[in-house]
Amino acid sequence: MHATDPIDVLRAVRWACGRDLLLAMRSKSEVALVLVFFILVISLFPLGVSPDPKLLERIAPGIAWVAALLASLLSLPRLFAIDHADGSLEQLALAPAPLAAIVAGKVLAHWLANGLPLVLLAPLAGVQFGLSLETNAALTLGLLLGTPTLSWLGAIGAALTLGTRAGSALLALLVLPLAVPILIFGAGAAESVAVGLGAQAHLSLLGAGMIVAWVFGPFAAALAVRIAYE
Amino acid sequence: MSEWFAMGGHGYYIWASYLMLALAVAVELLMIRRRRTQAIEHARMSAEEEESA
Amino acid sequence: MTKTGISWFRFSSPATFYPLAGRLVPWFGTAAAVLALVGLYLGFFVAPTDYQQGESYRIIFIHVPAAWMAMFTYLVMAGWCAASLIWNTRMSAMMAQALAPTGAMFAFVSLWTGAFWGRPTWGTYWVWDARLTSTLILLFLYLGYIALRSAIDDPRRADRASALLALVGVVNVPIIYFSVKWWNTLHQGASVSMTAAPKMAQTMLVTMLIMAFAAWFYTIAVALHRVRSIILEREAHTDWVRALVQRSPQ
Repeated sequence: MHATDPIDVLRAVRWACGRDLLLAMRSKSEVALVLVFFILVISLFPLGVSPDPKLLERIAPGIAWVAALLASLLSLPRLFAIDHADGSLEQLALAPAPLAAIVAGKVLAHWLANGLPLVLLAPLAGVQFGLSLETNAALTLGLLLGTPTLSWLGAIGAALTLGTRAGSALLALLVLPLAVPILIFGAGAAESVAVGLGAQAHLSLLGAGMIVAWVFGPFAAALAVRIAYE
Repeated sequence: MSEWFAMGGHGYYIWASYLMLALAVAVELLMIRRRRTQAIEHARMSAEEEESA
Repeated sequence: MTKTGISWFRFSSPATFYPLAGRLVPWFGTAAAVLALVGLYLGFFVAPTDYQQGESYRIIFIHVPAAWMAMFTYLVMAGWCAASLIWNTRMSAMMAQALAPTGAMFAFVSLWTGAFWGRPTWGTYWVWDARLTSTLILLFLYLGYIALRSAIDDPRRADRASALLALVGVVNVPIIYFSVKWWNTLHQGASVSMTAAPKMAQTMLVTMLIMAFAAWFYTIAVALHRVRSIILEREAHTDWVRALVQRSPQ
């Protein structure tokens, strides 16, 4: 085992994060596509359900969250796929720097490039559905706390499906059931504010989930990457 | 007899449930039988291949 | 015994486990059949008509044991997965592989029977109560495990990847159940609850337990039979398998 000097760990995280962010900046259109998909999915629901504003206001949090889940799924394969294809991921798995730290950097970059924009876009969606300011805030805050956990679940799923010919449907099957609690508490936060109750419990649970995801996610995802290269 | 079968009007639901269980079990038993036959066959074929090679 | 995860290392080699499993299958199979017959007899001819639900409550004699088995099998499967990662034994991984389809079957049966119990009792085929919804997600977890296994060609890599998936899943199951329960009580006020089954007369409870044991022994028998096939598939290149299949024309 390599001595995990905290400076080395931080350096590895920063390096991996910076590298991936640079890659994301280069393919801005792919990032933008995910956001467009998010808005598109949200817009489909009124068309498929009903334009009744009262109904839409009630189901808006759920719609926004489902759209966020689906949009995240769209961007996840890219987390490892490019590095896997050109062999650099295998090199990273063998590198002396701790793989968990590198993966953490990658997931952080992924969230900054994909999750955070969703969080920033969410208030717009809230306005589109006529949500009150408090409800909108609860929705956005929930997404802020929940999307990192989604990124981690997705990272584990993406690592497990590395190199399989299965594609995004398999990734969805693996990740979505595990993401159900995030969906429930995230949408529940906004809904309970909408009916006048507080969202503290929901948001606390989402926050706790995020911390747990950041603590255990790197090791689980690193293990999954190693499994892919045995 | 047919009165018992009707189960107080709930016969449809009860038999739909029990028959599905029976069907699922039957399918599973058939499938594990088939898996075993195929596994033996496949092992036999690869053994013969290895021998003639 | 073989299902509780006591790793008798002597049997962690497929070659020694194969004949043992073969000897155990008939015992568990027969036990399952006998218990099922007893349970069905009690369920249909001895258990009294329910005061509130009439005859349709008899579905719980298969619905609840199926739900229990789906849940329990996932836990045992995850246990074998943990063993396979910790001790790097492929026999443990094969046991997990053998259990998954049966667990998924019981999850599906639990959902189906739950729907047909729900319709006469509460008016709708599907009820978004905590246990049914959690069982649905459990079914997806099983399918995900099976799908991931079949998407990876190398069996050892498939073992490890699906083992990690199962462990992440098993940690999530209580979280999923808790969150779904919360969601359900918030929205429905617990007016519909399949866990509040009819107040159990003694015979009803005994029948359900007998059927639960029948389902358990059935699962063991089927998993042991299936694992024998898996052993043959994966160890086809070894001498002992070669000798076995060429010797006896079964």
